[in-house]
Amino acid sequence: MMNCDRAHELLDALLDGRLEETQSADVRAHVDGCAKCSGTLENLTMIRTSLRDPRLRFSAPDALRQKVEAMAAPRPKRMPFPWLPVAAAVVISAFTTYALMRPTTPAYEVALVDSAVSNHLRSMMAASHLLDLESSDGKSIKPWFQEKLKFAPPVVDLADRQYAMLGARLDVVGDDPAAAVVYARDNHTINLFCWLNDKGEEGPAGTRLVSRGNCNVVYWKSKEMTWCAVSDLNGAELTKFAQLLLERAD
Amino acid sequence: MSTNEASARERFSQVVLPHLDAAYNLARWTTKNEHDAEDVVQESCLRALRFIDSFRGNDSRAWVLSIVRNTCATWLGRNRTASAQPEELESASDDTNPEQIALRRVDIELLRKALEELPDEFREVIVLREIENLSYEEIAAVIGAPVGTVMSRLARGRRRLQERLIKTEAASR
Repeated sequence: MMNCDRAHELLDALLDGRLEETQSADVRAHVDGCAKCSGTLENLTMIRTSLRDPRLRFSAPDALRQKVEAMAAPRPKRMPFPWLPVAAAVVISAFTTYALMRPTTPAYEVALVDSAVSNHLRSMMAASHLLDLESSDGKSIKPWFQEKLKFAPPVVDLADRQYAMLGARLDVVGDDPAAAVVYARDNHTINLFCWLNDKGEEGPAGTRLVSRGNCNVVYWKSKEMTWCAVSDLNGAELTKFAQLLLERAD
Repeated sequence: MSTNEASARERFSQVVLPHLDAAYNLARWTTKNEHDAEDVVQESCLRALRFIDSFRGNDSRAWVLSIVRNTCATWLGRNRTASAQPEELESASDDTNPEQIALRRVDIELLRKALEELPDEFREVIVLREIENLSYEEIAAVIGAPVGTVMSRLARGRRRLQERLIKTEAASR
């Protein structure tokens, strides 16, 4: 004869249909004669039925579904955001082809470019993803970084060279918390990431330009920081942008 | 567009898209916030697309949900302050066989609140078992724990829900 504690332990398995026939019969025999166990079983059954109420299951919102479907679809006919198919295509090509990078590129550089490109694309997917702080004033962005991160990179104003500063965002590149400053040039958005290079990796000598799908990436190292600019701006212009920053950041 | 990219997209459609509601439901219960849930699912889908070649099993739902769960964990680690998890001042004991009264009915809103307030490790197994109808083995695959752990968390989570609902019902009598 099954004792009460043992039967009680097996109520969940019984409820989930996980007991052998004989064991199930033993538990039921006990439950039939035990007010406490039959009470618990009734309660658990009622709770389980209620948990299956459709009001407790959340469905993916339409906007989310459209974004995810866009990742899968080669050429959707009508998109609420015309750049989405391009972004999706870039994500795929960025993630599946390493061929564009020189074979001598160290693995961690490949990884940082991957991570920066994926951040850039994600920042472009919705207005709310692009900026945490809207500001064209580097002097207000720098203390904001200082407050949120344990470092504050120089925030360089390039308005006189037709790079408008839109604002800033916190991001993560690889595993490192990164400052992101967002610039615009004509119709192109530039994400400039900057994070502490305290892991002792060697950086490229000078700036290095690589392409991933429709994105160009320029990265370089300064004394304490690694920098990475990502944009659909052409490679030459993006390199020039990087060089202006290098000149003025010191 | 190369064949590889096209086939990655196609696999993504077959493997990930059918589980979008399940992914969102898990993220929504875990982050307790619709905007965060959307962000987490979007990021999870990007990860799934990136690693689509590494999926070789036949349980795509468990694979997708495990990515969502990991993304939630990263996300919560990044965004949640230490005090955000409700303290469990009462009913810290896990007496699984207390004296009790029978529930007369279950109010869905009270149940929603009780489930929201469960500690993460209990809530996730209940959401996966009762709302998503996953088997013990599938849940074990999603949370990366043995089946025995799934069973004990499920039992403790259910007892806590019961205890909570009984208390509320007793208070309203």
